[in-house]
Amino acid sequence: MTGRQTVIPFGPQHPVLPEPIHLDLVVEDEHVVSAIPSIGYVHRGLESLVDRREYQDFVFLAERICGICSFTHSSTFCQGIEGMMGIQVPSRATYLRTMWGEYSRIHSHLLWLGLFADSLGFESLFYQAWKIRESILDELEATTGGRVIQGVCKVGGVRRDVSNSFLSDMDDRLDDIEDEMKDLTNVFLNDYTLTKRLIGKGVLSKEDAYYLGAAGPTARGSGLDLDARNTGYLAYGDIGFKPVVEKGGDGYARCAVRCKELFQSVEIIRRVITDMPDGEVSVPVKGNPDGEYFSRSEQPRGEVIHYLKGNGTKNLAQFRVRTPTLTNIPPLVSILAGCELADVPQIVLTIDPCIGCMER
Amino acid sequence: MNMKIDPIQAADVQKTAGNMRTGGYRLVVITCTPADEGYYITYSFEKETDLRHYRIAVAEGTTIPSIGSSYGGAFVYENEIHDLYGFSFEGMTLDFGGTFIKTSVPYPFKKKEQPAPTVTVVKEEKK
Repeated sequence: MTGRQTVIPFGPQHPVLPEPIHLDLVVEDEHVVSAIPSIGYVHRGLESLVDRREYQDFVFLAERICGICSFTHSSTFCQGIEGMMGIQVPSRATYLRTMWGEYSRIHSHLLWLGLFADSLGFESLFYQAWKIRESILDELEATTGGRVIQGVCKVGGVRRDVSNSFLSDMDDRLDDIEDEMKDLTNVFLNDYTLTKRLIGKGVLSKEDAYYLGAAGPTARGSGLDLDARNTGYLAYGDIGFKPVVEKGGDGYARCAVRCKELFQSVEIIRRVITDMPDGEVSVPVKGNPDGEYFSRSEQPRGEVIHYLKGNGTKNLAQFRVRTPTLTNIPPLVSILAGCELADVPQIVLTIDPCIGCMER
Repeated sequence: MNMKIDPIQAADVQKTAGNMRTGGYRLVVITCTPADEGYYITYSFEKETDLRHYRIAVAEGTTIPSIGSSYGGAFVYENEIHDLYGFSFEGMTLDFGGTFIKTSVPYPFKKKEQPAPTVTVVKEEKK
């Protein structure tokens, strides 16, 4: 070690970053001493539009906070309004929301696996992950009409129903998807090169994960069973839920959580399809929201929180969003300190940063 | 329907955060919102599924004690609130000095006398 420190800028444009974040890496030789993040390259100020759009229309804007977790944003927003107004959403609608939320989780995790493979130069693996993801997007398109932005959630329920016969066909198609995912995750969890780049890299202790505010697979990879689905929102209370937890705390553990959650989501979808109640998928909504509500859901990247404040008019008075990537920034800063410079891109990827979501 | 939010004094923020940390609660989020008079800053903590909210009411330009000594991850929320609303936090674990979120106008979420128009009308140039 020479003892001389240099600052290396990482991002906002970098081959492994699909979206812009900037890190000032303070390095001593090849070791990272500290990392200082900065964001704001794509901050859109969507939250401030809430007083200029009616709350029923704002569902479409909330959905556009993110292009990957879009469905969860719309359902979380609707859940907040429904909680504030005391609306009882029909069971079939909550089951459908659960199903679409889990399809979104699978497509997001497959997207991440593909991007991670690509970052290591595994292009065929990247194509394979995204090929499977296409099947998931096809299901979303067939049932909602949209591949990325579904536009299916509304205050009081959902806009579309899915026939029981089609649900049964979806269940059958999950068998093939599951087989393909088994082959895919086998590579991520057992390939020599991939595991070499993950095991022991970016270790986040359980205590740090808890008190630094880690969320989602970043927290669960460090042995914490933090998952908003534990609260039993939507249909999770009915069908039962236990989070996937890994204890390693390193990049491999975070990758393993995502791989295992793919199969957990398949199981949840199967349960939802089997237990799907009959009945309406929405109720009429009258009046305007008044009060405050913290609405929470589990996105693919972790817990998202929508704070909503109504004043009895058609427009909400306040809307604030806390996305999982924002709360995963302090753990990222912590795990980058002390790592090798060459490992930085992969370590950054293991928190699955979604900058567009964070910049809402 | 309203959620239970306990009001506290701004001077007690660090003490409350310290108590939460000792009690094994994690910091979930710090939310700043404009109020009729001044602003509300709400601190949310959780242990298992017990979610608790504590709120301070502050006037514009107030310096607020940071809870970074109890929760190292608070710096993202505190810097964000500084950059979007203009509040300063004393004792942050990482102070970006207003450069955490790069905004084209300073403190864009600060209360304005007139809200920005939804559609910007561009006057046609005279030929």
